[in-house]
Amino acid sequence: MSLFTRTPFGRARKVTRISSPVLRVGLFLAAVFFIVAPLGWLLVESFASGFTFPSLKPNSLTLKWWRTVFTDPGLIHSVFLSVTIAPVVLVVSATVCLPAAYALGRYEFVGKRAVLLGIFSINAFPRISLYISMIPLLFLLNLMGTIVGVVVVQLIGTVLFMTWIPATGFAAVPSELVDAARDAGASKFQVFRRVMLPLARSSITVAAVLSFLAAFDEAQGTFLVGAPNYVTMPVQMYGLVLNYPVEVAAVFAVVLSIPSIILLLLVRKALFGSGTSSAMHLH
Amino acid sequence: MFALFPIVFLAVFGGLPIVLSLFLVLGHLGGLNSAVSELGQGEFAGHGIGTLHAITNTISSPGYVKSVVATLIVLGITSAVVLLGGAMLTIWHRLRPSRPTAILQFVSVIPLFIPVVIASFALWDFWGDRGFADSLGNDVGLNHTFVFSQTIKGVVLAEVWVSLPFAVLLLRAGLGGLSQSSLDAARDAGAGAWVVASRIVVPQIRRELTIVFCFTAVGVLGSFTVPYIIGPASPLLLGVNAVETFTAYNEPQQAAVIGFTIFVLAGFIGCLYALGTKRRRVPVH
Repeated sequence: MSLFTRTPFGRARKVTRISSPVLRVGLFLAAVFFIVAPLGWLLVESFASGFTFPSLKPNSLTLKWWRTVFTDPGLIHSVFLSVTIAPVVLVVSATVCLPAAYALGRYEFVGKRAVLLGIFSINAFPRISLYISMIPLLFLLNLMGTIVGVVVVQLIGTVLFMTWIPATGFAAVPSELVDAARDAGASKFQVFRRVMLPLARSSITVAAVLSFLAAFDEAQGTFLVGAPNYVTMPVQMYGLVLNYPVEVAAVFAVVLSIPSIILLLLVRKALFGSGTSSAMHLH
Repeated sequence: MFALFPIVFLAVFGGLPIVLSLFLVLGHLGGLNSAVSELGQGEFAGHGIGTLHAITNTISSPGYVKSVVATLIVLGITSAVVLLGGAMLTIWHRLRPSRPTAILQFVSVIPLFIPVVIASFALWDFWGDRGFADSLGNDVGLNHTFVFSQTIKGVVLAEVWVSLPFAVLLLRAGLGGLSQSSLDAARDAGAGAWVVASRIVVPQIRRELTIVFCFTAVGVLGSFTVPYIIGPASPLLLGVNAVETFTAYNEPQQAAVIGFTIFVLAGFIGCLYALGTKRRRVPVH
């Protein structure tokens, strides 16, 4: 008898059989290994005194790499720079973009689509080319090697998130609620603060987290514009990889990943929820 | 008026630099470009419309063609793998949701939250000479088989790693809008999972698939950190080549030419994007 079972769609059963539980488990494990194992290995290395190839067992466990990182003034300074610059970028981004997001979400106006596409298309440009192109202008404005230059270069990566995602959040607030609040005597600002902000909170949170991470993790532009005066944690990684033992870089990598992982867990639901989906369908 | 803030910012720090860079490529070294051209070396000055000497000089250098070819290879393979992997993962979960597929989707989004520089380092270390994978391979007699750092294969591997979350999130969003009734009807007619996926699901999410392919491709084109840390010393990918030309060789004009090569390639991908997404009208809020 043939292996195939005829269906209106042809030889379908054959494939269903191939995707056996063994294959599925294999694919599952391979995918998890591919994504998670390199990160897990960093964690192991950060506590290992060393390895004797090809053994995967550390020679012994130690905290000396952690001590190295937390006693090196250069590395500590990088941590300080990262945790101060990224929030500044976030606040500037929110100040510049949230009013725009509100306008884009709540009002119809001429050129709205052009504004949305303009914001989108700058982000669609290959990033490194954009940074290279920016350098002459930053030289001219005396922003090369300055903190303002670093903020500007990091801000670029946040504009899309901070505009598009909250715009969908503001757009989703039912007009009836706004009208009801206005009828009850609320001012425009009160409507914004008491009705809009709470209802659009989840999309603003997602946008804020993605923007913070975009700024916190930005390495390419900060490296070009800020170095050697402003070496943030991600930029420091370039040098660590070349100049320090792998284990020190591993500790630094783990430290740098902690805020990201915490934020991931905090916004997991919102990220997988409708906010992101609708933002992705905005254009 | 508020809506103009981000646009003005992007026009000043995004649009204007691109125009200036084009002038620099064409040999207009004065004006706003003088700040960078005064320090640069090996420059070609042009008058009137400009000169193409900087372009011909750059593209005739031996490293340039190698860079373009290497970048296109990495771009093509990465985009194809991300598209296939992302589609398999999300469609599988859409058709047969289970705990393992849900876990897999969650896991596949993790790289979004790992700084690219950390990811690059982690993968360089993991797949490097005497790294975890090499040690594991050695145990089963496959010495040096799984060493991918400092190779183009390693760049592809890492680019897939960092690009997968966006693909999964976007395809997941696209699949959310799929009608359950059409899937049920196909199943009732006896279609297996593969047929439902390929004939019912894929045609309906063609737009999302196009976006994933194009975004991944543009992401690879504009990437610097991944190829800088994991890639070989030669051939350099275009992003690394542009930065090295600027910082190590102090040739801003040639760096701008390479930068524009990336723009031009991204333009082709943009055309692909426009073709792949034009048929369906999508509402704008």
